[in-house]
Amino acid sequence: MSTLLRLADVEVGYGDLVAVHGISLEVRQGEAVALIGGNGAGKTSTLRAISGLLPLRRGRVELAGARLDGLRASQIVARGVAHVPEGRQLFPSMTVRENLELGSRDGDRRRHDETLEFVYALFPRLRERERQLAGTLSGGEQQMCAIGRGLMARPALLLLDEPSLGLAPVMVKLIFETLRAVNDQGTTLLLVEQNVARALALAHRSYVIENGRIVLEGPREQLLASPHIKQAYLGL
Amino acid sequence: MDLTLVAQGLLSGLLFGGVTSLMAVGLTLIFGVMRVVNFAHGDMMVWGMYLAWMLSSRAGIDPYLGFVVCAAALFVLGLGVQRGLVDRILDAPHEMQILLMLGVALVLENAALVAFGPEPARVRSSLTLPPLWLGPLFVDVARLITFVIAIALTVLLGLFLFRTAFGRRIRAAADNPYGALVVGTDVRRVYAVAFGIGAACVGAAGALVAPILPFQPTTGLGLSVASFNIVIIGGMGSLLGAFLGGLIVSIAESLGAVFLAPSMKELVSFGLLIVILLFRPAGLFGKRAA
Repeated sequence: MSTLLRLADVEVGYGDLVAVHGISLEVRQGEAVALIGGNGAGKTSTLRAISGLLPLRRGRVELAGARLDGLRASQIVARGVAHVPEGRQLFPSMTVRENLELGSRDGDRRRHDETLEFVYALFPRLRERERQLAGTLSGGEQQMCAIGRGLMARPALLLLDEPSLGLAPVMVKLIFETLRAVNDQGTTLLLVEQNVARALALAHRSYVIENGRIVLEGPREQLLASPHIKQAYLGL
Repeated sequence: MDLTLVAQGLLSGLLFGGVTSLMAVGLTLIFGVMRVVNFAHGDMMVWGMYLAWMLSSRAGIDPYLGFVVCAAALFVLGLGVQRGLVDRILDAPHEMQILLMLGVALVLENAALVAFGPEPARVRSSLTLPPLWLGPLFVDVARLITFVIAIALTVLLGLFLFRTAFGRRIRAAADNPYGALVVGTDVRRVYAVAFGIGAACVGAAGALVAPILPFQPTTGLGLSVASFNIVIIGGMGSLLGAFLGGLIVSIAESLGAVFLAPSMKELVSFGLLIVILLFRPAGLFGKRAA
């Protein structure tokens, strides 16, 4: 598998605060990779750095060998990186369908309709709520809408920031099953999660980030066997 | 009280309301998208009037055609003001925005003073036809044409915002700017275009009202305040609110002129503002008090 995304020595921060201290990571084509860690570990900042929402202070971000850092967020979306952000960031006074269509970057009507059909097939609930305002959806439905909006871009790489946050267990299960299906169909995923058990179950490989630094990295089995992970994240 | 007089007041107010609505729609669009109050709105309108006047007096172009040129010129002005000035202070505190926009207003007003002098001007439309009679009511043709064009422009703007992909992006950026950035919207471009469209609305409104109202460089402030009043009544950022608010305020002022002395028409519109804020603090169509 070839490398799709590569971060090398990436540092980002806010004002005087350094959120991420020179991290390096790789996501290969077709993989599902999780970035796990506690609150304030730098997970969200890492995703925001990739999608151009937070400028890099050092290091580089490459997508399939081409540099992403320095590009504007709109240009990065155009290169095929879609971001499902923390807090979903839907358009609350627009309909579910409009929210989804805003994620699309297809000028071609037919391709656009196909993608919409694909998203509705993944989340039939969104089809039922098509004409409802996004602000009136339940938390789980909003998360579906946010993921659907990300998929509308037909991304090569989908970045997901805490898709399980604040959702009922049944909904978390459904969301993760859908993400598995999306990944099986060829979309590369980079997922940030605090729900470590779910994240490890979905991801082929994971990185553990603490205080803005990567402290552990490896395939699922290796991390599950790590005493540090067991103790600090799984409470075993 | 003569009922005919009341009906006449209603009709005149409604006809004048089209252009008031268009002016307020421009202001609310800019506010809704960028959360910036364009205090130069009235002065942009005055420039629309003077451009119509120049087109009419120098080139013989009737304001009812010239409004297209005025709208285009104000679009460029609005785009330039946004790109060159407003864009730099979008994240700054609100008082910075107020100072900046008041500064733009002063520059526009004084530039008009330098260019055109302080005397009141008026544009003559070649379409000065005798009034139409609707039974006992007369319809001033200039006002009727102004009304029809203003309403048509407002409807066109609505179609653009609700039926086109770029219009949808403008509404999305108004609804959640961060979300718009996340889905790959070039938010800076959306802001510049939205400001341009808001200015174009008021530029067209200025050109359309120029054959009805005499104007001078200092007219702008009153127009800014009037637009602001309508937008608050309608609900800040609500397009429908600004549209209906414009009609309501115009009718109220016109009726006020029937019942009270004509010079007291502002009393009616600001009285209306106070009453509406008492009962609906977010305005008629505002979502909630921010």
